Amino acid sequence: MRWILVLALALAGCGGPAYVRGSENPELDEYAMSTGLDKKDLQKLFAQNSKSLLASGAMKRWKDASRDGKEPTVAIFPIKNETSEHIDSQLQALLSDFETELVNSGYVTVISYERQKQLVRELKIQQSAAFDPDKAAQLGKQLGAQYFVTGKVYDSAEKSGSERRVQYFLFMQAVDVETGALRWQNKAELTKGLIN
Amino acid sequence: MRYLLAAALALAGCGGYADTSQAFRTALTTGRVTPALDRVNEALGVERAEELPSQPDADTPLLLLERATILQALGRPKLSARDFQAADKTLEVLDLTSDTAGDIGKYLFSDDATLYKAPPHEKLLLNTVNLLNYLVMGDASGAKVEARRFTVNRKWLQDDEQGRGMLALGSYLAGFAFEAAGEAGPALRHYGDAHDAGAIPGMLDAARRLATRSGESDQRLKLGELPVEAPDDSAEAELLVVVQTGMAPYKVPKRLPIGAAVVAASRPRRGARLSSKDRERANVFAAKGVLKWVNYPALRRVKRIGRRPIHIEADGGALEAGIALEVEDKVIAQHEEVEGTIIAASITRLISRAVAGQATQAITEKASGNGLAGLLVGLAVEGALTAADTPDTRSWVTLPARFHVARARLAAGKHTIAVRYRGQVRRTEVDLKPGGWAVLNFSDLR
Repeated sequence: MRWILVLALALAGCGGPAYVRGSENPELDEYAMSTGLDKKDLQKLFAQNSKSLLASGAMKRWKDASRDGKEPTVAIFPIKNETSEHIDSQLQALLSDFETELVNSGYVTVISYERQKQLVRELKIQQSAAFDPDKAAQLGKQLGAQYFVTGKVYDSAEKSGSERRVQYFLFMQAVDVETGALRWQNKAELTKGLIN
Repeated sequence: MRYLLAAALALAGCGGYADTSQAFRTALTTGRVTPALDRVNEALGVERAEELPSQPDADTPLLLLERATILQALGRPKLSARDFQAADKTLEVLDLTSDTAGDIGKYLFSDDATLYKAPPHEKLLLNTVNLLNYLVMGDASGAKVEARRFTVNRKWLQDDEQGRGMLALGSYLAGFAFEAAGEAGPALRHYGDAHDAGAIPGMLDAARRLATRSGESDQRLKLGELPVEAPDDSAEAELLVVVQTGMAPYKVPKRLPIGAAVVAASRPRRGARLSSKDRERANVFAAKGVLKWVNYPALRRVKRIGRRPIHIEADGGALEAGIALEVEDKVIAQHEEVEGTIIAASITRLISRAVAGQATQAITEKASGNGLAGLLVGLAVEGALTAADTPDTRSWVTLPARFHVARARLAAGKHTIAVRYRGQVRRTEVDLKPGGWAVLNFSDLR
């Protein structure tokens, strides 16, 4: 994406580009370089969802269970990309943040997404089941999880004569594997744009 | 004024994108795809296809489109997708960039002094062919992203006649992507869009099967009465073969005598025409001998080979194949529609330069008191500007001329798929999983 900025600068007749560190240039993270999701966007989406999860009834239940010595097991399923941007790697980063938050809470045992891939191979089941609401619970059960956290990000993308606007909606939920009941859900949103 | 003259002379002799693209275009017309990749890498200033240029220039987005097409033809969809994505993002930025300097440069120096703004059909086909890359890689999620980008552009360009003729294939592949991802509703909506935009061979049968299996439908498809129970096809798999042939016409600089140009620019067709005032001024300058020729971008077919039959086979048996998109004819028809407008714009620019020459003559005469010196400097300025005039020949020159498709349900397992076209046979093995799908791409850009 940096490459596009380089071209824009070149076309604008500015001087040549130079490599910089974010620590030397605090404003580096402030600028949006594309309509995709960057570090700042991920932090914002994560903060909104994390705050909601920590304050949820699900987290309270997990805490209580953990104190009673019945620490629940939670599987983290991938976040489905339903946008018009290739942001799969960014969503992977978001998922890792979530995983870290849950692990560090100390109240749940987390089956990481990386570990899942291996289990999925061993169990000879389809990883794509994580995206299918009917099969996700079954997959969670096979992985030995009591809950799974999943989500999807979708967008409303529009283009006009002078701008392109992408409104992102990150929808996350925690589902009880046994009953299929939703234990937590939240929607975070942000807008990116390319305007003239 | 000296600087103006120097800049104009520096630009003089520059052949524009027609020259830049000639090496890889020529290699492709003789079927030498790898040398074509080397040539386009040279034009990009990189040694390998894995590299992106560190010092991009105004032609870089177009050259990335060309390289992406060549990489796709070489069966390297991952790198091709990366280049298409980079070109897509850059063209989007350029689309929304105001270009005052370029607009001034266009009048003073050259038609291709502006930033490149891709025409509607290139924007739509970029997402279409990149969607194909993701399908070939078996990545339905990535294909759906491209399908959504295609849809955003389709909505944006819905009123544009140039784009409308190019929608069917993109909508069809978008439908396939959603079907592959198990989302029947959106898939049938995209098939409905494709149906509205034109016929795609085999699409209605596929849509009927999907509608029967899923219970979903799209009224525009007029699928008729569907069987109550879907047949058990769990031991089968879906195969889609896409074959891209030829290259779309490219632009070349053409010189037209001023008289013929004025006539061509005044024909009552669609688009802006030469105003009566400019027509009068052009005739006056022509009579004085100041204007003689007009340079403008004309369209040229790569080869006059016409439509050649194509045969697609699975294990030696013929698959029903047909043309899903005829780019060449559509591009030619679109160019013919706007050719008069392009010539009119070229004449207007020439008039601006002639006026600049006259103004220079007047200033020099006043400053030096020498009429002959004024005339010479005025003619030099006007002549240099005209000599530097490079018609805008930029376009996606490796864009295939035709897209053919064949779609079939085959028993799961290994199959040999063969494509016979213009005396050559290309074969590939495909291993189909029960209930799965595969998309194959063959590109023959000769």
